[in-house]
Amino acid sequence: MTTSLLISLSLLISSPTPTSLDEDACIQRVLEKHADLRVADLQIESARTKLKELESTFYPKLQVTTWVAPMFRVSGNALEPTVDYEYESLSDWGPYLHFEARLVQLLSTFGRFDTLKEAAELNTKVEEAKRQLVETSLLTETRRLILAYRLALSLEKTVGTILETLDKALDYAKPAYAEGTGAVTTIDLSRLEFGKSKALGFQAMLEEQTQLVEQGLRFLLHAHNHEELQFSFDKLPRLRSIEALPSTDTLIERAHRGRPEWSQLRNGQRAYQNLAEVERQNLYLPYLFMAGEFSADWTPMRDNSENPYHFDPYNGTWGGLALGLRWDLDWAGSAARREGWELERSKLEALEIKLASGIEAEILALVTQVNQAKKRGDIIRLGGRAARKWMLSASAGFSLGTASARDLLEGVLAFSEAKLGEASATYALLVARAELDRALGFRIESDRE
Amino acid sequence: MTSLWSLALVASLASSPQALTTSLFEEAAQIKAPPATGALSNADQASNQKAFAKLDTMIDLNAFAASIMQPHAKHFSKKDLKAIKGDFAETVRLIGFPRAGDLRGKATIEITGTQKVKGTTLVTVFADIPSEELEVELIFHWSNGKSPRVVDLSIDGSSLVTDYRNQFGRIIAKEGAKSLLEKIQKKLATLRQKYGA
Repeated sequence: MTTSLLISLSLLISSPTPTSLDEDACIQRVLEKHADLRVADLQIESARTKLKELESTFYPKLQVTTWVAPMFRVSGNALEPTVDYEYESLSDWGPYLHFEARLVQLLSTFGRFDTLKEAAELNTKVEEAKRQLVETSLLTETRRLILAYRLALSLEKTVGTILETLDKALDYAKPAYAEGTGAVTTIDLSRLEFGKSKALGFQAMLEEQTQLVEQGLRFLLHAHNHEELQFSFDKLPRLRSIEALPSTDTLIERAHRGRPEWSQLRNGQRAYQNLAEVERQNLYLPYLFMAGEFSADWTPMRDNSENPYHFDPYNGTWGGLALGLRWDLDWAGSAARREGWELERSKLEALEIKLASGIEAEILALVTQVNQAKKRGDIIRLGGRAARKWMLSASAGFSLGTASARDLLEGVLAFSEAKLGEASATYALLVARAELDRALGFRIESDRE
Repeated sequence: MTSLWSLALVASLASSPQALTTSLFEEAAQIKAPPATGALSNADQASNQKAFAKLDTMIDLNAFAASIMQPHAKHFSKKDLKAIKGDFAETVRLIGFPRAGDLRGKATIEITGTQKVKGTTLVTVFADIPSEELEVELIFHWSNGKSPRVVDLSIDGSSLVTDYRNQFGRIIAKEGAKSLLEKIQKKLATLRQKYGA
């Protein structure tokens, strides 16, 4: 008994608490953990690495070479008419050691480094804009799924009310039918049973939809199989509480300001322009550098020449420090690369008009969608108002005994159907608004009561 | 002089239909609904009766009933007409008053406008009952005069007076005036038994 109690207690203590996530928490988690955003962040890091690579140009470069080689004996030097070669026995052979080191420090590229650095920074901004695109896309997808979940929550209660009403009606109708007084006919009973089956079917579809949405959300949140999540979302807001849109002109202007594609295009163009400019400068500009060099050779197998005018490659040291200019002139190559960068820039420039008209067309289409959804919602609200009057009037009459139960039942069902319609219309409107937010490049707080 | 003027102003504001509508809701909020099982305590019942009496000074159910029966008077004898008006008024009282507190507790209300039409002042109230997923526009028709009282209520633009007139008219046409009187008396008897009235 004690053992089983202890085991139960330990299970109770160790059972994991599900993580509760509201809408903000879900969005936060997607922004923090989604793989696509992580990849986009790494792309930005990669662009910054190129910048570091460029900056390394101005760090000193050191080259060191050393070797040892076998060498045979030669007696004499360049100033003597004859020399003796000895290589037949092993003792005629010995080592030859060579050491050289060169240190080069780039001092100036005459502006090309700054131009290239700017191009690399602009490339980073292009990657940041791409990241923003990924982010808005993910946010929109998350909002769509959350809205679908909220729709299911909103519909759940209404469907429950419908089933409750039908059950009460059937509880009354079945015995009344059995009595055979004509108060309830086969048609009446069948109508109720048919209505109940429709409601049950809708409820089952709702449950399936909720599960699919949950799976979609779990995928978006990268939740492991064993991770228990509990979503705590609100029901959909009332249709009347959703604010109207600003003017279309305002929205188009916001889109042009907010859309990351503009940042991509414009920064990309400037980056290519910079690269073309560098190639133009490469046609004639040198590099200014300072270099130091040291070299040493030694071998016992050759006579050392003490004469400083005699170049002795086998025994000696030399070195020095110099300031110099270097030209790497590849006119055909630079011209071709320059043309290539200018073409890339022109391609982006050509896309501007497409982007401008594309954004406007997209905003106009989405504004139309939102307005149509609002219009449908307003029509449904009118129907809802009528259904509400029907139900309340039937209720007033029924409570007095001057209206029939059938009138009341039909009123309740009409009202419930109107609620379902209103929830669906609200969902359609909010999904259209979420798409519009994406098209604007940022989020409008439009669906919070 | 100034204090008299202020008092008069305060009194007129207090008796304005808008202020009276607010008072009506405040009175309704005092009414306690019976528990799910059992009955209200004696103290609660006494408190409710006080609230009902206050509501009686604000809602003219007799005028309400008279308006409803006005086009159908010709179908009734004087005695039956008097009976049906009185029984209907009491039935509405017994249906509506005890539930007023519970409903008021669930609802968020907002007075959104006032309008004078001939003979009455209309006060529009927006009521939101989240637990029932219900939003409704109510218009209280206050009679003009020294002691205004509610003589009609419109729900989403439909007047209860007109609604009941039509319902009664249909019953009278299909089943006869006597049937209507019997239905109301039967309902009243049930309610009296329920509330011990």
